[in-house]
Amino acid sequence: MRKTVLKHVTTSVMIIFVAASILFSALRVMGISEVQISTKKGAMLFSKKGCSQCHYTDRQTSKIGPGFKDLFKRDNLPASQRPVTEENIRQQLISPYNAMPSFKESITDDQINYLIEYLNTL
Amino acid sequence: MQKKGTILLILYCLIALLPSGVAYLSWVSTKSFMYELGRNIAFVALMIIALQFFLASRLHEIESPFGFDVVIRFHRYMGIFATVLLLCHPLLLAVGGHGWHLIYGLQLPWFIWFGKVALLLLVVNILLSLYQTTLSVKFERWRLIHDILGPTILILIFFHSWFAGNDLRLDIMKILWIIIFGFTLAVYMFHRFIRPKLLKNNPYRVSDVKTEADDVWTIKLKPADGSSVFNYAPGQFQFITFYRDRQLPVEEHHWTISSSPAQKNYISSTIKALGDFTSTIGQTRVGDTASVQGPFGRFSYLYHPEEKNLVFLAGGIGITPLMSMLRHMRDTKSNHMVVLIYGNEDEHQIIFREELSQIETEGYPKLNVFHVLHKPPAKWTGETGYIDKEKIQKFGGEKLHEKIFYVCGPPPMVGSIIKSLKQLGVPDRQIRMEVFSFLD
Repeated sequence: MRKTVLKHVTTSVMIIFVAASILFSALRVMGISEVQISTKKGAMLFSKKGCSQCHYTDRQTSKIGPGFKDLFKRDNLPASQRPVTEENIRQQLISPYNAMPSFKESITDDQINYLIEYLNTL
Repeated sequence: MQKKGTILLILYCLIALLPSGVAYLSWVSTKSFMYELGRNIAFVALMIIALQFFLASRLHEIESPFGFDVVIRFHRYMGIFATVLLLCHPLLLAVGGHGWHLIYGLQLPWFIWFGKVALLLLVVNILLSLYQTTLSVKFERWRLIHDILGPTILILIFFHSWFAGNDLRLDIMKILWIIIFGFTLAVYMFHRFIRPKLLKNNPYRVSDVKTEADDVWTIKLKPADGSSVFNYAPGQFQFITFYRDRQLPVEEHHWTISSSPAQKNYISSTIKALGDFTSTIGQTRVGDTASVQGPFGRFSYLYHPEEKNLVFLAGGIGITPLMSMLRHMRDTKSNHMVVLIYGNEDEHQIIFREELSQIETEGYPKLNVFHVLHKPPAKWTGETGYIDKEKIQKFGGEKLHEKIFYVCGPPPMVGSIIKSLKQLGVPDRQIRMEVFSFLD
């Protein structure tokens, strides 16, 4: 009897694991929460707007501009040395410090928010 | 007990799915579905492998709701399942966009090679466990290899996942990984090194060695410090390591407890010479020391106090857990009604014959014993052949389908008895058996 129960339980556990893996994978690809949607959009914008050509996202060393890894864990923005706040990042995009091009004409407020969400996850 | 088992199972599933869940909540993927699936099944498989150490470590809280034999079988099935998942892991990553060079390429980073070696060792480990008998690998040797491969695989997959997985860049995942692998290694160290030392420091001493039948001995053990033996239910088993010097081997084996738990100052196991090690049991002497760990298992009438009408079906040395139950019923003057059908090859192999007859006469429990011999002597008036459907029907009494059957003996005999009981209409839930060998 215990052997039969064991086989049923083991099969159920295996099915749960496979089903959960499929579910997590699907959710992860689709994105489900608002934050995640924003972050995903931010990640896409980061690439689309050309930010990734000058900035690394997985390290702090410079490519052309500074790397953004752990940006929100730092005290100051790497180039301007202003405090790391959403407002200062917004400012950097619209009216950049140093040689970075301005995105004032080519980016909307919503898109800036998505980018900030994304930078917050690095 | 059932509730505790259910909680443990839910906990098992939640822990195994924890990294996938944390990774999902922490980061959104820009990869393909197949890639993500490859990554998620690897998370689950890694967690199953980590949890294997907990299942095999004989922790009372994990073992007691299910019985150790069930836990070890679950460990075995999940090991195979994790290996299948990990074999799919690189294939899904390759299909999902990583490229096939991951499978056949040689110019790969060291941490990818760590993963490949871990997978190879895992397959070797599983094949050795499944085909130990066919490959003629002795149990002790298999166990040593299993004990070395297990932590080696764990360490390799830790480094592989730490450096290869993008998710492991997240601090929360790093913390989770360190906790999981740290705990797992700690449990392994406790199980393999610390607990054996603690048990050796609190030894038992052999107080009697009695020859019961051809190549069968009962070894009585008492705590060396004069204290009482541990509490156990009749029918449970224990792990014993004998330290006998005289160049006799020191190996840990598990044997059923044959004594009654009503007897507090000693514990006994009745052991038959079935292999290289057990054939040395007759050389054990009074005064030898031993490490004893127990009790384990759930093969006991005490777990089902409402069941009073029992049929015990035993073959050869399989009588030992049933004898422990009968002795306990005798010592506690129980009013159970028990029919014992006891099969042996020949008359010399019958164990506890006189004591069984004595219990039958004394009336606690109300016991009827029927001996069945395959090779009876000329003057034998009892039953002959094997325990089969007809004999169970003949001696089991009326309303068989309402009785509870305890079956213990060599696997072929147990298999044939179970088949007979099913033909007689006995439901599965009324058949209890001990699945004593861990490797079949």
